[in-house]
Amino acid sequence: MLLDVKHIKKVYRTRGNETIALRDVDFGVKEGEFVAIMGESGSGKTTLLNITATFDEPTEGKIELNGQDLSKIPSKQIAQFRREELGFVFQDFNVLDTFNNKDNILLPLVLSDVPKHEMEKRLDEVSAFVGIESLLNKYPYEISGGQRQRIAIARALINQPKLLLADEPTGNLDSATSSQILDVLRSVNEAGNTIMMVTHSVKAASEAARVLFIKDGKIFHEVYRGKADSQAFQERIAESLSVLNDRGEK
Amino acid sequence: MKTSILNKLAFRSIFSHKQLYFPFLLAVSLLFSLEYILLSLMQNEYVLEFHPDLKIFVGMGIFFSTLLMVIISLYTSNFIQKNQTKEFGLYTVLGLEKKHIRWITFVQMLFNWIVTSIFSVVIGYLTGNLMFVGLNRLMKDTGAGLMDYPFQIQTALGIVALLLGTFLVSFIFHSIKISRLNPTELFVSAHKGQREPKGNWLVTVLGLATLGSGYYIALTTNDVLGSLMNIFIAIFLIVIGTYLLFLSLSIFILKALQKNKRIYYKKNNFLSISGMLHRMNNNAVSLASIAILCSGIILVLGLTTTLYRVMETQIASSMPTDYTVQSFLFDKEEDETYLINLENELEKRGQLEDAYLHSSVNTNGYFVDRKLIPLTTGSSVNETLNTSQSVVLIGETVDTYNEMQDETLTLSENEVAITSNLLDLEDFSTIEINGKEMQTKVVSNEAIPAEYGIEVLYLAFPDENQLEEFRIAFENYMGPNGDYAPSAYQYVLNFNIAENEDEIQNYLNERQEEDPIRVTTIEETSQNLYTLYGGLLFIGVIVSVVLIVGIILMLYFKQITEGHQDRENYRIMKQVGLEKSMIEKTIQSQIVWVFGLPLAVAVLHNLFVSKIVYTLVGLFGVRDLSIFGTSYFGVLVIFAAVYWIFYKLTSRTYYRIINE
Repeated sequence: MLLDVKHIKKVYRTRGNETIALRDVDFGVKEGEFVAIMGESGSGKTTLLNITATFDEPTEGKIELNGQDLSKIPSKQIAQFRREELGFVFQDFNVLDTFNNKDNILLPLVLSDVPKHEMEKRLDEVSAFVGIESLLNKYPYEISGGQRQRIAIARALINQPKLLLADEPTGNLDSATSSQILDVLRSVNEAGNTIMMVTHSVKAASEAARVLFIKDGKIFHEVYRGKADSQAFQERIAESLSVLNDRGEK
Repeated sequence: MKTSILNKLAFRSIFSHKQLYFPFLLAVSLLFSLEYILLSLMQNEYVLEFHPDLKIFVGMGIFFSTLLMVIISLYTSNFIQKNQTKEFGLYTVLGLEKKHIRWITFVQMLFNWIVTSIFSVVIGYLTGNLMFVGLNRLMKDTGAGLMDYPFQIQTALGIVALLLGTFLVSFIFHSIKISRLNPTELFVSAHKGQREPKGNWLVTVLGLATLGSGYYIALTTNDVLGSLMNIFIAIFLIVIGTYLLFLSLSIFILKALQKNKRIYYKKNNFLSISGMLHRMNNNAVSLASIAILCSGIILVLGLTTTLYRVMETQIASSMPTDYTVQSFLFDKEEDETYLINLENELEKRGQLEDAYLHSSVNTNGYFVDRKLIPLTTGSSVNETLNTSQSVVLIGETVDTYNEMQDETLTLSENEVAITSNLLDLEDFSTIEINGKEMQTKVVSNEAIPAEYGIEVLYLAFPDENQLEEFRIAFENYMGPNGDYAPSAYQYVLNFNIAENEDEIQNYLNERQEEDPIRVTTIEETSQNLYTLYGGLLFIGVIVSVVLIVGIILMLYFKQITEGHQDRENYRIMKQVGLEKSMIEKTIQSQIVWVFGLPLAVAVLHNLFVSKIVYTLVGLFGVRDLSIFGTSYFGVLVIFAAVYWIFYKLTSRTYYRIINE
């Protein structure tokens, strides 16, 4: 297993109120796998992603990446860990208007003191792969949302991370642009990268090889794509979702 | 649409932005309360009466401070309004027309105006009062002070009018902006970062030209009294040039740094260069304002310190001993005998030290083209001469000079030692005294008592005969009936008291009652000097305090607003792996810009204007270049240290905000 999520529990305490975000989440992601996590708003899926991303810490349980316990990483090295082991793609892109697109992509490398020639080499590779060569010298506010998300994906990939974490990557995009971004993510996965994506879009989830359903802080169900085509897989996901929702309402 | 609803929206918007709005109102109020204190100086009795030029200098100081305060206020209110535009976009989407939006901003402007007017006047009056009471108490022993601090209705009205003007300008800018944008543009304009600014060569050239001509005027103006206007123009040009160059040159420099891959793609530089370039237009205004404030503080504090130290040395030099007694019997022998007797009487009552009896000749004469001409023959030598061009002449023997100044000067038969407080004698190797050519030795002007504010020429003759010749030749005007006659010798007894000071003082007081003598003590002299110049110190301290508070506000507001702007960026960068320690390093690399640059510019400005300023302070009796230089240096070092502390404190605020 590349990623081992072991009996994670997360409780938020505010002024005496306890909110249980995650009860007992336990699963693993293999190297090269593309896993989608689905659930409604408030189901705990974003909490799970944040804990995996080291933005937050679990109340109980632990997460291991390549056998390394994330909670054991000294706080001084946490930033370096994020930069070198993880890549992030966010719903609202989170590219910086103060940098042009090229510098946005190079940011993690600059922070890691990568030599200039190495930077250029990786930039060429990743921008060709994501298809953004013509955008490099523009600024984020000069390009469309879909293009911005490509920049964000390029930034996430440039450090060759072990795990790519995506939080509703198509949430702010129209359907045509969404398809393009999902195509990019699929080819990222086909090139050997491991992806864990949180989404509530059935279409987005159907790009994954496996879909986990989370509800009330627990994993309720999982479906594998297997040999099914995209259409059939989407139907199965939708089916699972409705079952999940029905159960909740009983 | 009902205006009451619009009014409600206007106030709601203020309260929903209270995090930015209240600091803004507070900052503007504080700035203009300082302005109130400055403006009130214009009505102050001391300023009005001390010297006609003082009023002009204070007026100049106020003009530039006002300019700065208006610029700073406009800059900050622009920032506030930019934050509101998103909301206005939402309102237009909900069906408000542009005229409604304009009404909302108008109501907000009125609100700002009323609130800041009240606070400015009240805070200004109260702190002004406090400063006056405090400073008067501090300077109590010295006899200086500006007395009371009454509430001035004209000053208050001036502040209210200034604020109205400032907010009106800001309102007009904003309504132009609103009418140009459509709803969606309004919606995003708050969110969207500023476009990367483009450097403008024209502005650079214009900036260089204005700054250069400002420096040029400052360097080439020699005659201060006749060209007060030049000083004003020079400073004005320097201020404008500073703004223009900060606006243009900084962008060119940052762009050049960005182009240099070796520098730019280092992690410290990467964040700071791009961040600054991104908001350089705002940054330039605030940095230029800080630089000008720094220059002003160094200038005013430097002047004040110089004046203070000069006063102290003048007190010491004007009185070689603690006591002097001058007798007015107007007869050489009688004066001498009287003072010798007095000295003996005093010795009986206690013990004197460094007692020395000497005489001098005080008169007037013309001094033109290295020629010293008696008043009586002046018009026959040169028709255009009249008494208003005469200078004070003080004649002594070289023995007296040596004794009084603790020197060992020797003069040959046709030599004379000269010095002056205001006249430039540097390249005089000879001088013609009533038609007789003499070699000169120029000596230190400490020989001239400090109380002279007018041009004095001091002459030390080789012997008493020549002094007597001088006395007879240079007759002085003795009033309507006496007309011209030779001045009498002035006999003076100098001494310190080693023992029985009280008894000796009592005796001196008795004698002063009965005999035609004048007793002067060093305390009286220093009191007199402080009454004369203390007010200048006072004004210097007040203006410095005002400028220092201004710079603190500016730094603080700059760091707060930029902190709020940068917070989101830092959040994102932390997510993609920016260490906390890196944030600290990035903030540290700001030091060069926010700390170093304004200070460097301030030093440069002060160097260029130092010549004209030095000539200027000569008006108030400052003629010592080394005191002038060391005072400025000391002020610079201390100010840099204080500025460093403020900088550190405010950048900690920035750090706290971006890590919230």
